[in-house]
Amino acid sequence: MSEVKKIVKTIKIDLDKCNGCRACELICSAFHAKPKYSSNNPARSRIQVIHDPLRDIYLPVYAGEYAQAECMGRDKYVIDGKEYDECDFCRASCPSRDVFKEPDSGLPLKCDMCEDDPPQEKPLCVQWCLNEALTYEEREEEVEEEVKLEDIEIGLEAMVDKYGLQKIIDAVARMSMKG
Amino acid sequence: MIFRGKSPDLVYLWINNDKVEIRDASHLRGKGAVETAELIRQELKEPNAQAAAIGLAGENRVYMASIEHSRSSASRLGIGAVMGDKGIKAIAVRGTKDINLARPDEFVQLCNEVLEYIKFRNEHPVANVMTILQGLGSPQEMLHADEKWHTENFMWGNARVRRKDFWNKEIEEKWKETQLRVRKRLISCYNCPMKCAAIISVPGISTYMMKCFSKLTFAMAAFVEDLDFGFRIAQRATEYGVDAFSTPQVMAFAVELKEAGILTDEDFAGCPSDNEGRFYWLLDRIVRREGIGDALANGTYWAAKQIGKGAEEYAHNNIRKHEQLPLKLGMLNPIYFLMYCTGEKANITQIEGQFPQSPFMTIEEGEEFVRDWIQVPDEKFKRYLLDWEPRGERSMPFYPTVDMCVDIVDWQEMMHYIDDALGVCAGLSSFPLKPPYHIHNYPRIISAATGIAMDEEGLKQIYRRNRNLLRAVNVRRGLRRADEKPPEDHWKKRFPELEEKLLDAYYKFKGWDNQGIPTRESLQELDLGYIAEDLEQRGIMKNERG
Repeated sequence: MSEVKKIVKTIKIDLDKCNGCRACELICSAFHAKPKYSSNNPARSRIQVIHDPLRDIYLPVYAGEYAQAECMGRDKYVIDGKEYDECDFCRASCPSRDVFKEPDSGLPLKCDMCEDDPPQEKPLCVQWCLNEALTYEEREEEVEEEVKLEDIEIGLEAMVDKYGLQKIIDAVARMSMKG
Repeated sequence: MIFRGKSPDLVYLWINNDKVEIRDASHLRGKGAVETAELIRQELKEPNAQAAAIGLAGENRVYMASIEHSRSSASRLGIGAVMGDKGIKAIAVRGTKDINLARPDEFVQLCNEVLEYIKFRNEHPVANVMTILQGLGSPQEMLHADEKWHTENFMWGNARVRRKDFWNKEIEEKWKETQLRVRKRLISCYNCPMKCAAIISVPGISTYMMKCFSKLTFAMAAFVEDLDFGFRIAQRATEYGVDAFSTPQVMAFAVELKEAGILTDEDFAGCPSDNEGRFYWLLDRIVRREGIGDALANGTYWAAKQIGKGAEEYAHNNIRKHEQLPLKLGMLNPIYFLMYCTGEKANITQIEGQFPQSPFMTIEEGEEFVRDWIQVPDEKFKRYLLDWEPRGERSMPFYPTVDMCVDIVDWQEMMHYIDDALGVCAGLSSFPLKPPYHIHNYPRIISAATGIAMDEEGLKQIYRRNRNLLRAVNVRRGLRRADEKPPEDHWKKRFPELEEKLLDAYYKFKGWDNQGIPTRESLQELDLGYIAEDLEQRGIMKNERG
């Protein structure tokens, strides 16, 4: 397989620099409103500052993949003497909590790095973070070129893994004879 | 939101989007204000709910009680006592609905201009004025530990003693170490680029948030030279929910009364003898209204009347029965005279801001200041400033002239009224010199956000209506010219004749009579004829139509 170059977009989050102003949430929700900037509502933001001032916790987190089910365990992290829930760091839109869901429909939200038309130089949250708690970095990575499988192949591969190739061939042959 | 009547039991209000619920708060009785907000968030399972709460002081109707919310508080004029009297412990809110804008593109463009200007101002502090006046925001007391200016210019004790040689290297180092140790993080309000507040965590007591000057008001009133005490007692005061302007002065007043023999050993039975212990003890008595604390809880004005025996002499730093900043100065400043007298909120910081407090020392400095002074409502203000001199013919108290003073005060209070109406923080608008929001961009911002047609004259008209409405409310409550006085010993050198002229001119400019009561004619011009009717029915305004 050949090597290809890929741009990886990264937002570096410096928790020590966050002052909890939540301008990132505001601008994210305004930028993604339709029409653009027509409303602002941090509950619709794809970045959430998990904040608990009395425990000095300020943690900006981005919305990632949708998760159908919540995790079985909930671990705790203690960092510099401060206790965080594992969930605090999690990007998932998940049934265990309210964040990263459209407030009226409950549909999941996901950060798109403001890949918009016209393209933005940096995600809006980074542009609006005056404390430099959020900084944007692009880096190039060499990755192996992936051969993209069709959905049906993905499914078949899983079946082969489970039952072995011969059993699958036999099953397909039987099914086609019944045809 | 308007609360009418009272609740028989202690309750709190929970507003979740369109749903409003009155909930039992009996389990929160006696809890601290910060503690209450946290307990409410936990019981509602709403970590993002915001809660404004009163502490023990509000529950016990202490006249200096505040309403505390996060890093902020509504401290002045005893508003926490009103909430306590109504039996409302807290108001909790959570909303996830959109805030819609009328003309989004235009609005965001204006926001960006404001943001760019804030960045510019943060990089370009105002030159040739004292440090505290150079920047934007609430005074940056959480950032800076250098307190030479406050400790040497503000009075210690019961607004009595100025300590001109207080600040030295040793104190500077010690205070800096203390502040950095207890300050966990500088924090911002929602969507604000400033960092006026801080999380304060003193070992052994619960964490709280603070901004501005309360780190020192208690310490200075108590004659304690340890900033650590300032942060510790402010934590207790925040949980109790008391105003950090008035309360320390009430306690210092009590100490003076004791020293003068007006209050007795019996009144102070059980009180520790050291300055720190005495202040904690007094604070605890006041918020619980125990013993002498019951009279003191009514503030120096009323407490002095209750205590008698000449105690009134010691309640010397009040306007309209409210304790003021502990400042005692030399010569009358005519602009400040008017603001102290007529400010409806009885607090100088809530009316001052746009115009420098004193003239520049040289013509060049003045010219440099006016060069990019875009905020002036009229070019004439630049002339007022440029012609103003530290001494000589065009100096205080006779320059700025009476009419100029009225103009200057009108501009400054206008900006505060607009901010209050819009819910914009004074720290980025009416309070600092050269702020990003001003009379020229506000109408465009309001219009783009709301779709209401608005120009400068329209906004000024709204201000005038607000100003007159508020005056009418206070007039109904008995406010008259005799109440419009600065603290009696605020300035050593007074000019009674000039002071009368200043008040006369201010009233005339506002369209009020010589008692400060709005006239029928001026109210009608503002479409407030119904207010005139009301004042007439109450016998406050003469029936001019016979």
